[in-house]
Amino acid sequence: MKPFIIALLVNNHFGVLTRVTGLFSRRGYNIASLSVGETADPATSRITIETRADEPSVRQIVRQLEKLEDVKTVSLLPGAETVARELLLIKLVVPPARHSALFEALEGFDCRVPYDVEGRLILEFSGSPARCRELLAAVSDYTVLELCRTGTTAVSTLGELTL
Amino acid sequence: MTLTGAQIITEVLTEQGVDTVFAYPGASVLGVFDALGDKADALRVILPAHEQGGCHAADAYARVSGKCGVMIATSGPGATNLVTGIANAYMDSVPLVAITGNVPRSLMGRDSFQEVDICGVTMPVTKHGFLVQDIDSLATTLREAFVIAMSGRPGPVLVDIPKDITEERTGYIPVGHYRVRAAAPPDEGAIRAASELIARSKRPLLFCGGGAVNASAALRSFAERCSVPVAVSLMGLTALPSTHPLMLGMIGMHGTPASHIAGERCDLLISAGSRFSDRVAGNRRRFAPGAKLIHIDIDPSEFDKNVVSDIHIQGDAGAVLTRLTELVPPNAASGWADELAELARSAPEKPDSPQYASPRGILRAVSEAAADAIIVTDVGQHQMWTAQHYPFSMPRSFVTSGGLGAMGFGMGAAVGAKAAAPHRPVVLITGDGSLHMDMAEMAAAVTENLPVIVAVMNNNALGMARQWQRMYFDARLRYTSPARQTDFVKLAEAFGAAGYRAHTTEEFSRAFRAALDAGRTALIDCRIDPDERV
Repeated sequence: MKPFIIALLVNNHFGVLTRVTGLFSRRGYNIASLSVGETADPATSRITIETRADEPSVRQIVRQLEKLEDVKTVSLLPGAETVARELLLIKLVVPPARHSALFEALEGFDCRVPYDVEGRLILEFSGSPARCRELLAAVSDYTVLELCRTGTTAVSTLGELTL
Repeated sequence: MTLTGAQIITEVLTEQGVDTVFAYPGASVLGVFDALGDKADALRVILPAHEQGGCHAADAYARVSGKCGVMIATSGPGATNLVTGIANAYMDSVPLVAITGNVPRSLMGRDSFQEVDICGVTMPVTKHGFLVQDIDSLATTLREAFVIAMSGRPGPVLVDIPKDITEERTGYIPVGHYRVRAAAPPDEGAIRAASELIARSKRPLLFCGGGAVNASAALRSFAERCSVPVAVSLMGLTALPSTHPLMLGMIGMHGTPASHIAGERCDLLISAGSRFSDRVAGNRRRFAPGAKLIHIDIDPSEFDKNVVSDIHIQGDAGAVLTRLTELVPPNAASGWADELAELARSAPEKPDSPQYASPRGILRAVSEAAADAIIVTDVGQHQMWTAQHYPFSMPRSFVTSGGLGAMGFGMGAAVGAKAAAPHRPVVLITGDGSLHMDMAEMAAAVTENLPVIVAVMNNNALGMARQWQRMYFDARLRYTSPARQTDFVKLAEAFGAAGYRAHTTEEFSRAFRAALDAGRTALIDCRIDPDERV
C-alpha cells in the first residue's frame, strides 16, 4: 500500500461528488483526504483525492473514475513532481507559562496565529503532507481542542490537467 | 413548435428510433401517458402488471432487438419498483433508458407523497442518472441518455423528470437518431503482440462472455481459422452455435467437463467480452493456471479487475477478433481442438423417467418443435439446465438474468422478448419458485397479445437453494420446500391463458406442440423429479 494523489476535473453540478465518493465506498477503496473547489471555469470543479492503495488497485480506481459521465479528466499525480499542500487550523489550550515554549517549538514552521486570547490559540499552517505531520508532532504536547484539515490539494509541475 | 414537456418526451422517443415502450401510469406521469395516447400510431405502449416486470420486459426487449429498451414509471413506488430491473440491466450490460416521473419541483425535498430520490437510489446500478431541472434541458437530456446507454459498454440510464416540467411548454426542434460515441481503434501494438502469442500457442482457448454475443461472425471466423476451441460464460452462450465442432459450452461453476478441462490445460486464454465473474472463475488465481491471458474488452476498467492479463486490448470484440484473424497464421490441424471436441460430444443423457418429465427432455422437446424459439429463463436449477443442455443456434436467442441472478425476471422478460420478436416463438423456462415471484406478468402477455409459452419445471421446491443445502448444510432442507398449493393450470386459465399439465416428457412434448399451434399464451406445469440436481 502506497499513498497516491488523484486529481479530477468534473462537471460542477450537484451529485457529482456523491458519484465519485460512492464509487470509492462501493468498490472498497479508501479515501484518506478529499478536497473540492471550482476551477477558473465555473462549469468545472477540481477534486483532489488522497488514497492508500497498491499499484493495481490505483490503476483500477482511475479506470473506474474515467467511466463516470461527469468526470472529464483523471490524473494520477506523479509523487516527485507534484506540489501538494494542505491547510491546517489547530485550536490549542496554551497556559501562559508554556506560551513561549510553544513558539520555540514552532520555529521554522511559518505558522500564522489568527487568534491568541486568554490561553486559547488558533494556529494556521499550510504545507506539504510531510510538513503537516511534523507540525502536528510539534504541538502534540498541548491540548488540541479542535483540529481542522482541508485535505490535500495538489498540482503537478509536469504538464497541466485539461478537459 | 411549442410543446409541453410530456409531448417533448414522446417526440424525442420517436425521434431516437423508439417504437415500443414499457410503461405503467401514476400521478406524476399522467401527462406523459396523455401524450403517449396522442402518438399511439408511432409508439406502442405495453402495460406490465408491475413496474419491475415492465423493466425486465424492456431489458429483454433490448437483448433480443439490439435496440435500447425504454421503461416509464411514476414517482415513488413506481420508481423504486424499477430498481431490481435496472440493477439487472446494469449487471448484464443491457442498454436501457428508464424514465421516472417525480413530484413537482416545488414539492421536492419535502418528503412529499410518492416522492423518492430515485437518482440517488439507483446511482450504484446505473451508468448515469439525470434529474431534469428545467424544461429547456429536457430534450437534450433524453437524447444524451440514449447515447450513454448505447455507447461503449451498454447499460441503464435513468432520467427523472419532475411533474411540473412535463406540464410546462417550450420550443422543440427535432433532431436525428442518436449516434453512439466512436470508440478509439484498438491498439495495433497490442494486437500484434497478441497475434504472436496466438501463433506460438499449442493449446489456445477462446473464452467469450456477453460482450462477444454481437461478434458472433467475427469470433467464428477467428476460431475456425486458428482451430481455437471456444468456451463461453452464461452471458456468452449464444456467441457460437451449440452444435459447432469447436464449441465446448459453458465454463465455470456449472460448466461442461470439456470446457473445464480446456481451462485447466490451455496455454493461452483469449478472453473476449467477459469480466471473469466469480461464477466463471471461483478461484481467480487458479483459473486457467498454466495459461497466458489476452484480455479483450470494450471497457478498460475490466482489465486487471478480477484477473491480471498478459496483454489487454481495449475495443469491440468483433473488431479486435477480425483484426487478429487477419494477422494470425491459419492452423488447420489442431489435435488439441479435436481432443476437446471429442470430450464435448460424449456427455451422456439419462433415460426418460416414466414418473416425471425430465428437464433435459423438456428442453429437447422445445428445440425440436420450435427451432427458432427465443428462450427466456428465470433463475435457479432450470436456468442452469437450460444453459447446459439447450442447443442454441442463433445469437440473441437466450435471455437470462446472468449477473444479478434475479428470480422473478422471466415472465416479464418473456413479454419483452415477444414484443421484440413477435414472429418467433418465445418460450419461458422457469421454476415454480421463480414463477411465484412474477406470475402477474402473465396478465400482460395475455392482454397485450404477446403469446408466450411458459414451461414450469415444477419440483415444488426452491431447487437450487435446496441443492446447496445438501452440499453445504448437511442436507438440512430448511424453508426450501414451501409446499405451495398453487394450481398452475387454473392460474393460467384465470389469467386468460391456456393451462396444461405434463407428468412425463412425452406429455410435455404433446402439450408444447398443442400450445404452439394454438398461438396463445400457455403455461405447461411440468412435474419434475424433486431430487434432480444440476
